[in-house]
Amino acid sequence: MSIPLSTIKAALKIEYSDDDTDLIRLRDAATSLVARETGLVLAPEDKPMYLAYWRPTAIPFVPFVSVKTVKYFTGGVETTMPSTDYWLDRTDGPLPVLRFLEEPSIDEGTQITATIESGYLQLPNEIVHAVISLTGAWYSNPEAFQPIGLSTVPMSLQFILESLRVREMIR
Amino acid sequence: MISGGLLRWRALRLQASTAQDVLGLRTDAWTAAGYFRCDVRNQSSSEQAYADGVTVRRQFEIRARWPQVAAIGLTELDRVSVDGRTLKVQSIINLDGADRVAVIQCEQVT
Repeated sequence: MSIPLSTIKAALKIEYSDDDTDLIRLRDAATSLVARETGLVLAPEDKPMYLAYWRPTAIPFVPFVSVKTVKYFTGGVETTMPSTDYWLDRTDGPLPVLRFLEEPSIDEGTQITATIESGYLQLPNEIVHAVISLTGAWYSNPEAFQPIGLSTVPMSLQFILESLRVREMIR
Repeated sequence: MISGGLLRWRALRLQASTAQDVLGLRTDAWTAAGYFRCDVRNQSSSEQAYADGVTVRRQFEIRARWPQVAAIGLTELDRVSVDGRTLKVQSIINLDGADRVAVIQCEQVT
């Protein structure tokens, strides 16, 4: 999910279209970087999670929406585990833990694949603001070096990224 | 470049009429010809004798993004209306020739 260019241009007070291509490139780079820095899934996405054997597993995708399927190979056949055979434990820390009630045998050399629905349907404003501020910083300072001193604005990008970061939750 | 946070004012370009009076001088008629976002700073104010009294001359510096100023075609022949003042454009500088920041020196006329 990308932030509309019009939102970014309005916030940065850019009222011309000459640099739209540049701004789109910067927006996409900023969005990708914010996702990597925070560990958040910014757009709705089905993420695969692979398990070598049946074990309780914290789901590392934030925001978590649902477990769509759990599939495994048994007797050479791909099988979907009934949703009644697993459950989500939300009592053990901030991340939901996928726990299995049944542990059917799986073929050697295969893995269990859980498909996890995750990502924001609508981006929170703090993420939108982080992307805007990073886009604006890069737009105003496209080079790696400047002949002037630049200062970071307190409580801005770094503050937002640090407060949104989810890596600490992953055990 | 210039920070978007500084561009707090919305300035109106006033384009001079090409009509001339009977003496061949430019008439004092102006047409609105586009807006641009800018930063306005009062550079100096000084007293000057005027008729049988005195008046104050105020100099302003306007900073804006160069592509925006170029897009609306602002020239030294124009006036700029911003923050309730009408300013006479004295010079337009493309800072460092980088096409990033326009520095517009102005004098207040009304």
